[in-house]
Amino acid sequence: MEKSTFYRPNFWVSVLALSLSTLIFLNPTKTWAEGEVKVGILHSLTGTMAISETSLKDVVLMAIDEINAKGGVLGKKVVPVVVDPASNWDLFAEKAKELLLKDKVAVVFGCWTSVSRKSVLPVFEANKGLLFYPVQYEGEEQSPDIFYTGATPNQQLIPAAEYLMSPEGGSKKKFYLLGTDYVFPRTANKILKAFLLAKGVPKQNIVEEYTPFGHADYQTIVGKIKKFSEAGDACVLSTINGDSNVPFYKEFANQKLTADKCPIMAFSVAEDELRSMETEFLSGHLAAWNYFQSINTPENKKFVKDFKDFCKKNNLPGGDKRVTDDPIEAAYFGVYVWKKAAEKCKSFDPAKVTEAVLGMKFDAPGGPKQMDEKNHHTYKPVLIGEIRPDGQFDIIWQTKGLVKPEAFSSYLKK
Amino acid sequence: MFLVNKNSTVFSLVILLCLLSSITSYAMTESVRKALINLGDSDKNIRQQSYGTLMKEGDATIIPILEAFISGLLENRSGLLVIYGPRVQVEKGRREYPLLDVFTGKPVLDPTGRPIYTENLSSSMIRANRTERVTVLDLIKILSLSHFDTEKRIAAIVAAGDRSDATLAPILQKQLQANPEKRISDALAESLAAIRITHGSKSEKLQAARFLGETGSARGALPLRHALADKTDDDPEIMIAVQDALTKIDRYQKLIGFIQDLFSGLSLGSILVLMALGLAVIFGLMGVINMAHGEFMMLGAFTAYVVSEIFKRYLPPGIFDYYFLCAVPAAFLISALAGLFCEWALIRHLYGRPLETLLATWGLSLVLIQSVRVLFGDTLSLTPPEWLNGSWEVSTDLVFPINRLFIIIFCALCTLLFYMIVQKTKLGLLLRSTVQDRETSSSLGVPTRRVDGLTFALGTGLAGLAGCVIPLYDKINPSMGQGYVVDSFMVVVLGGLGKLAGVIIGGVGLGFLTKFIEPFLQAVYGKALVLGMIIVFLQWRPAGLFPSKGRLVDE
Amino acid sequence: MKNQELMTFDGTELLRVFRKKTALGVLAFFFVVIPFLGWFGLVDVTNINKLGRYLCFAVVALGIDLLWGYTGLLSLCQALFFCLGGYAMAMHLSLPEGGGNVRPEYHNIPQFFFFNNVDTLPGWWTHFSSLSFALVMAILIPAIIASVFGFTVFRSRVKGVYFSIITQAVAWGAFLLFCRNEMLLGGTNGLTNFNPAFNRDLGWVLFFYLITVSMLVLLFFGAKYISGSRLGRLLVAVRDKEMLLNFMAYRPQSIKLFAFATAAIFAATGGVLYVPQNGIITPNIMRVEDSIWMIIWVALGGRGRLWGAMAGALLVNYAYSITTSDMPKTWPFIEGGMFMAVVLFFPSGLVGLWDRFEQNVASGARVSGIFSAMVVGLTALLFDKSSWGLYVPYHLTALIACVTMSILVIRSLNPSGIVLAAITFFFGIEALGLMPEAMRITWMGMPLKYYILFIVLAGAGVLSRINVFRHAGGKYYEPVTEH
Repeated sequence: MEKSTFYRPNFWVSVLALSLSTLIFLNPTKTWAEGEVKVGILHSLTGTMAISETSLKDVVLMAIDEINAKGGVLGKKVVPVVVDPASNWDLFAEKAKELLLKDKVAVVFGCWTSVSRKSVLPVFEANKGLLFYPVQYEGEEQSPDIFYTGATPNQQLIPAAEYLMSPEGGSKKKFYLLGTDYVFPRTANKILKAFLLAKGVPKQNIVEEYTPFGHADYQTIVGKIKKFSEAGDACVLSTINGDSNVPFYKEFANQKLTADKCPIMAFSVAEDELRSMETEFLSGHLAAWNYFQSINTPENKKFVKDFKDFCKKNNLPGGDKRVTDDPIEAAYFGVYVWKKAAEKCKSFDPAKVTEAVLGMKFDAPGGPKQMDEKNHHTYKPVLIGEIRPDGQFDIIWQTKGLVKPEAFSSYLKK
Repeated sequence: MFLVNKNSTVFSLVILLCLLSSITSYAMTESVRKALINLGDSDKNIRQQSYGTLMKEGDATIIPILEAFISGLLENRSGLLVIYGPRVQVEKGRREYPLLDVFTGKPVLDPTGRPIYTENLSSSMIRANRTERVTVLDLIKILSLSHFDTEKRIAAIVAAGDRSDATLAPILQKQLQANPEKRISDALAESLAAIRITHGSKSEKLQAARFLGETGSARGALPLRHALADKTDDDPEIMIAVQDALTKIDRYQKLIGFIQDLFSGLSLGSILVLMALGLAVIFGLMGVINMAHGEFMMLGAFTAYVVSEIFKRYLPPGIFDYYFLCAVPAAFLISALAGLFCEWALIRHLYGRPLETLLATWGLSLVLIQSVRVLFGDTLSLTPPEWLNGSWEVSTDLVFPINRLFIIIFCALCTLLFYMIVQKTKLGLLLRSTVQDRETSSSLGVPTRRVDGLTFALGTGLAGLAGCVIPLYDKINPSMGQGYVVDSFMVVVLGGLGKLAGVIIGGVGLGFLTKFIEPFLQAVYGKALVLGMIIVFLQWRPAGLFPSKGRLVDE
Repeated sequence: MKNQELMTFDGTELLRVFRKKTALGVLAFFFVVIPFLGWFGLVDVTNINKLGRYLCFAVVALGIDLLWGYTGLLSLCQALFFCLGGYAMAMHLSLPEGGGNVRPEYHNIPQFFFFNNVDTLPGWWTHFSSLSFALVMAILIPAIIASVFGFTVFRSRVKGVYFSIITQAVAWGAFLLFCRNEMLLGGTNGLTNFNPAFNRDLGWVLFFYLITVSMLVLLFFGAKYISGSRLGRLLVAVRDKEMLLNFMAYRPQSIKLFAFATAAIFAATGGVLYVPQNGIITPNIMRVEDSIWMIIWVALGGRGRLWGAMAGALLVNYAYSITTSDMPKTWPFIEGGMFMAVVLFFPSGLVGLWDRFEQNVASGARVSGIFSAMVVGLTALLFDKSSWGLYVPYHLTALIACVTMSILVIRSLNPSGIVLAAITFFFGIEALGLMPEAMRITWMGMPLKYYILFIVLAGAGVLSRINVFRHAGGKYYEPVTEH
């Protein structure tokens, strides 16, 4: 009686299971055929960093689409492998390993935060991978397996501070260094402070302050800035990260501080952060980058248009309202640098590609650039932009020619 | 260039014409016209010359033009000077700049006689460079001293005082004698005093010091400090007067600072109250730990965004400012309906297993966040209606941003409404009875399950209301709710579940505490300290300020 | 009624043997099969490293189960204790004495000090150059913090959800503090630059893996002993009738304190083992969210049963890891849906499924087929290693394996058994990295393997329905859970 609780083999179930399993296991087509080369995309698509990193994933996919449309690299179709490290730093390392060992990708484009890069760095070094890292960062690092297509501190901070101290920038004498508490703002402010002190700015005219990630209540801090700037000649050097910027600028405007009296020079606010935001109250504030969407060249205009079309075509959120910015450009030309290098050395082997990348000259949407011969970073121009009422930047100042990257800042040496 | 022939644009044009009517109503002299055109000249000297001309001959009518000039909205269209007016809605989802003739203030027409609109700024915009912008700003400031717009005029007067520009003193004096309205005369007097403290005679200085001391503004302290530091006058009498005034100002400023902190604390606290009310009622009634509460708030924020977009796209721009009146009920409804659905589909099955609701609602929050992310993307920002911008100057230097003020009032109203619902309506009666004793209520015929559903919806609706006002000062993104939910739990714990007042006191208290600690310690330590204090507090009152008086000895 | 009799008279012996066999099989799998496969390169180092790390989470889950499952205290700061242990270990590992990768240009101390204007190692850091000190601290600090905090909290009779929310506040506050660079613990970047061999070289990886497994087993038996002892019954008593305990002159506070401190020590142990295998520790895994994840492991595995907690930790982590790779855009739907589904339909988690299965075993179901099928399948998959270059044998074996598997599984026709087997098999081969390439063919954004898994699960569900339907006249066996 108790046995009847269970079935005798059911004919149909077994037929179903059998046919299914044969179907799967007898399918010998290796999906990734010979004519393809895989590349990894390692950007957070969920969690706190999704807000910034999603656009980089989109632009890398666009670059790959373009390359494939023109016949791929070395005759092979580029197949992107997208994974989601979910803003979880441990998962970054895990996914990097997976991309290198399981998917056997030729190169990885990814990471945004400093800690995510630190987390994957040993993985790339241990497995001889190749990573293109597209975001400005704090320097003091030079891994043989990473190419840094974003700015080093000397390609962003120093020119910006110099500009503010010049008559053209308003001869500022008091500096409020405000940042989110993580390593880039810490280092940036350390460099800025050393620089300002060296330029003879008295210590009491420099204030340093940090807020936690995702800080949204800037009432008190803006109050402090207001007091600080009461006597004039003051400015804010802001390394506030991503989504905290909206409440910060809003509070700034609400407490009746203006860009004319106390401009904010931002190092982490780019077009993508300003997208679909009311930017009227930001007008007149400044930002220092190596690229702006408003660069007026045919190459850049095409790039911007292509990106908008790509987003619209693929029904990505934002559609043709999407904009380009510095990290997006850096992520984009990273793909092309890799392509050019692979074609130069006729191989996808990371070691050979690395050799080929060093010292390479190439054209990016923002103009011609060059990789350093030794230090794995990129020669870039420095631009200072002023936020326009429409959320774009007016380029009001720029360096002549490209600035050599200094991975190890001279202002930190002492 | 985009040509428009839609009737809807006529409306916006009317507004624009009103805006610029000031220009047309005055005749401009030929030299001023020429000087304006020369602003875009590439020769520096010519530009300097035109600044001179404008300084001498210009009047307040050219201020809008100069403002457009410094903000980069002026274009020299082959000899015709045009302003890019405020962007208007020309087509669904498309906001464009109208082109307006500087001298006539009328829209520029294309050959077929239609007004021209453009989506992007052209590349031939003329704009003051950064150094010259200071000159232009000065120019505007001087011209603004007699601006027809009172706000702008006051700002200009204040600025004149700030720069302590002795050349302006006669103008100010003259204006003061003309006996303008009180606000203007106050500003005039203060600025005049600020100038005189550095440039005036002895009696003037004394008088100015006394005057500044009485107004107590931080702005007034600056020239006083300069006077003290410079030691240009050794006259002890003046020094004493200055010192006196400074002490007075200090005392006043401290008071102001205190009030400002109080205000900040209140505005932070009121948001927390609104969030925590919903949480408390859900938890108190059903014992459900709603981890997705922040996500219901986020739904409210996105609803507000969608409503504002609908207004922007489909309705005439004139009523855009009132979208908020529509967004508030919409946010409440959407969040409440979502809550009702979730209660029906998920929570209903989990009563009596409070800790498992934590798991389920956590899963729910993952799903909600990702759904919104897929639908809307990551970055969004709400355009606050015009009437919520700016700030209200209560007294000298005491500024309350309007949006914060609105949030406080809004939260107070919602809390009041909620209180009325709980105390005066039938639902409230049933709710209270169910909270007090579920079994007995049930046996007396209270449909406890339906009460649960409605209460859950009410709670999430409240979260939606909070979500509706948070974008006034914060960003909107799919994971915005997570930052608030821990704080709101804190409020619930602090306040206890016994009384509504507990949540209010808890929320506002937490807001005050945070804001009073923050200026001394940095934000992080402040927060950590507050958390520590809560833990210590719970030592003393383990079930919060107003513990619920259950009938059971245990729990 | 009838079934109950059946259990006592015929089933217990069957069940005892079955349980013993299963336990031995699982132990053999973790202690012998995996090191063997790893040593001969059949399973990748990375996968062993990953398994090692996830087993550390299982250690944490054990502690949570003692605390939540047995004592009924839902703590939302276990991730903090995990991190405290981890940080102590990481401090040792980042110093040159612990194999840390330091450079002379940064004064031979961890690099992050350089960003904080510190040139010499602070005094309190120097002690951590000794491994034994670091290990003692790693356990002692969390234990002390838990005891002091627990003492104050339990003394003032904070209980239930209030306890959860306060612990959440503690975790959050600690997270904020650890993010500060002034703490000299690396700020948001945390501690890194350990000896890279730890998670790269097979020897080290296997070493840490085996230590972790041994520790897990040790702690499992420790926890089992506790739960089976008089103390264990007191723990359950605190959960179910705290008031009664009070009346019986017990002090529930001290019992709770014991559970809380023990759970903290378990979590810290997990952290200590986790750090060298992970290579970095950041405050990010200290957040409240991570503590909630830890609770979810236990909830999914089934609380109140120690092995359930461990299985839950492995299952949830593998699911998280796999879905974020396979479905980068839609994984939150799958995960969130899974939690909701588990709560709604399998309130007792994996344990409940297993109970049903055991009852079937007790009533004489033949289940060896399922296990044999899994072994055969696993062997077949080993042939897929391309390094062997044996494509033809692979397909042949695979075919045979499939046929055998299907027949054996279907012969036993035991819905809960099939579900369990499918889940175990699926995650097992994922964990070992043996999933055949062909399974990654994607259709509508989801790889083939999930379709198969879902079909099998759905099939099992249908089967159990038919089961009920067919025997509507008889008594369908409703599993009896322990509590």
